[in-house]
Amino acid sequence: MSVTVSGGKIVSVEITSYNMHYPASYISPYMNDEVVKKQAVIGIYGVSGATASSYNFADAVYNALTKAKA
Amino acid sequence: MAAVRPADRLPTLAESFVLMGTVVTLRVVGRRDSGAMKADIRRALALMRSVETTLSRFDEGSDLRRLVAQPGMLVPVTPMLFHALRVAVEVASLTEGAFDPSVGRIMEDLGFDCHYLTGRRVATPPPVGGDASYRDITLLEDGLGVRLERPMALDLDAVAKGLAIDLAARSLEAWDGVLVDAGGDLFVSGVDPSGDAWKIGIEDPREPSRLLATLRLTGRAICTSGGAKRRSPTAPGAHHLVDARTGSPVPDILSCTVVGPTAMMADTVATAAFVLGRGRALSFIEDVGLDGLVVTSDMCVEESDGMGAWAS
Repeated sequence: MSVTVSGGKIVSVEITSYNMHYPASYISPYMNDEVVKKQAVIGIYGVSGATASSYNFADAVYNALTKAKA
Repeated sequence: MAAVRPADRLPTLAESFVLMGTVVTLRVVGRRDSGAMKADIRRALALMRSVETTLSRFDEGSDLRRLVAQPGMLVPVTPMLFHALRVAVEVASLTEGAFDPSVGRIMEDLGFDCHYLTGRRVATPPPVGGDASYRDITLLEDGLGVRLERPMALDLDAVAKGLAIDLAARSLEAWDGVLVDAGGDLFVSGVDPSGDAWKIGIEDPREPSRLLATLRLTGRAICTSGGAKRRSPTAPGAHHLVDARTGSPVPDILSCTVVGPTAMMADTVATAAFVLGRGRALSFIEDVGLDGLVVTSDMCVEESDGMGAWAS
């Protein structure tokens, strides 16, 4: 997962590799917008009523951000 | 909102799968090795698949389809199908038929007739002498038998997903923490990777990029029924949450969220409350002893008195 941070905010998210059991195209059209909008995703492990795909990537986003801070 | 600090994190493994027409995520937290985590997640997934296999209205080989193919006959069924039908019929009775497991043919008429994996369509012949209802389902406790007194297409989706979530969560309960998320219907137990109760958001159906609230939950399910994401391909503007008495989608609610001890209960009650419509939704949730939140189509948010206790 590649996360671009600008001015302290996530501005884009891109899948760079994956090991899911379904094609990345299943979620990638939606993921960028969802993650950029939902910057509060970290610390929340699920959203009732939400499209599941964006929150499945919470950890990936977290890891990418942790690396970005290091 | 504070981020989880790496130093706080307990070992965790999450895997996601496409199941029951949505994305299912199983997450476990604990100090045992990751191989054991993975093996347990796969076992939980197998349980969820067994629910789908048994209760699918699209799969010709499912127990549900086998029952539907034999109207007028006393059909021995598996405990899983019997249990799911019993719950569905009880809730149908509580809602005086607004929620009804015999709604399958209405779903087909609205274009919800296609298997999400195979693309295969189901088509139930039009009924003779009017539509059947839950009152035409006879459950015989002795021997787990069911007789459909009239031809009908059963739809147990509202019960099945919750049941699958519950079975998966129960199979994982030995872990320090468990989260089962089936497309926004969840059960959580134990602790999150920080050692706290799980923090779960409720999506705002008026603006899905926002959260209405965040809750701290453990040992609880939270399920939301809403019409925004499943639109009829044949009836413009219609969604899949139908008052079975009228055959029409309910227009005055955007979403119903229910917190309960099991996902099967929470999901079924959320769907039932939705199809009862604005005037009865919240009181129905409270009458069955659960907590919940209703967002109406005129942008009001109504919640039960007990919801505050779960607020993060």
